[in-house]
Amino acid sequence: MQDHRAAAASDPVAVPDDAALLAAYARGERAAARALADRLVPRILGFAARMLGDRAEAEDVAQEAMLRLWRQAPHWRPGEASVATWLYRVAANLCTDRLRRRRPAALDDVPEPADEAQPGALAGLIAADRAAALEAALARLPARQRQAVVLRHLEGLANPVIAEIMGVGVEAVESLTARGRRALGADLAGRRKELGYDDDA
Amino acid sequence: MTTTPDPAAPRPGPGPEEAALEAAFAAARAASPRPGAALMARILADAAAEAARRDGARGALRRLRAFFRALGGAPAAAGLSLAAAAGLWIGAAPPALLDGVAAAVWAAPAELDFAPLLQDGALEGLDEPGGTDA
Repeated sequence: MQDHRAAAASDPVAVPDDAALLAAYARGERAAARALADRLVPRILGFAARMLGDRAEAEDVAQEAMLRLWRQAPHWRPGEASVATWLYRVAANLCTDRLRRRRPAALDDVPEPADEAQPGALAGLIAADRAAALEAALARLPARQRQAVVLRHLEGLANPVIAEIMGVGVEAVESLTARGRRALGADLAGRRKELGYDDDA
Repeated sequence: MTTTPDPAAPRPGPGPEEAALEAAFAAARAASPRPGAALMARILADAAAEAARRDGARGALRRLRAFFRALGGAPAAAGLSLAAAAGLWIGAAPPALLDGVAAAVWAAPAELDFAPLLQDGALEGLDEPGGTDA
């Protein structure tokens, strides 16, 4: 996914890149705002939803991050940073603020795994259930690990980009991602059969 | 003695846990939330409002520049600023010299006598073109 995005961004003939669209919006081209939103909002929304585990809050974060982008448009210096990276960083900070404001007993809010006493009902699980199981396991990860794993494995970003977003070194990203993967793997291991993973092998 | 792994040797495939995790990632990517029409409308309304606010600010700046250009450009603006600053200074801390000037200007009579103007006929013809010369 990352390679595909990188190729699309580096091909000036195919489509205007994000910075060009942002500059067009700053010049008053309203259509550029729609093109930019169509391109960026799904990514930011998905990231925020996984970080917060709450669709309404994720939408608020996406809207606020985009508003900051609109305000930044006239001051944007081309070539200095990637628009998407900048936006992910803003969204990450907004998510962190919201997670900090939550009450300490947030463990009560963590989704529980599906009831393991119903193996029969779980036999026909489809991909949506696997996705739900992963989302639940993600919610149980520490926030920094969750952020690194989501950006790497769900948003498809490269480690140096994630390091820029998170404000840490690449080694730290690798460590966070590895620990997050191990924790997720262990979390899902007990449910592998009921989620139908063994049938894939 | 250590042995170097043969890079050409077949690498073991991912274990069942790794495979399960990759399958879960793939499923989650496919199930990514899509922004609804209401959210996109809110975001685009923000974009339009921000552009309008910027246009408004740019318009005000253009009008201000045009005003100073009409006055005579930068020297006029500098002169105006100097006059304003001097006025503020004189108002806040008037120099002693001004006491004498003020006294001369506001010297007697302390009261103006409007009585002669109110006498009958004194203001006659003022509201007509040509005034009292007619």
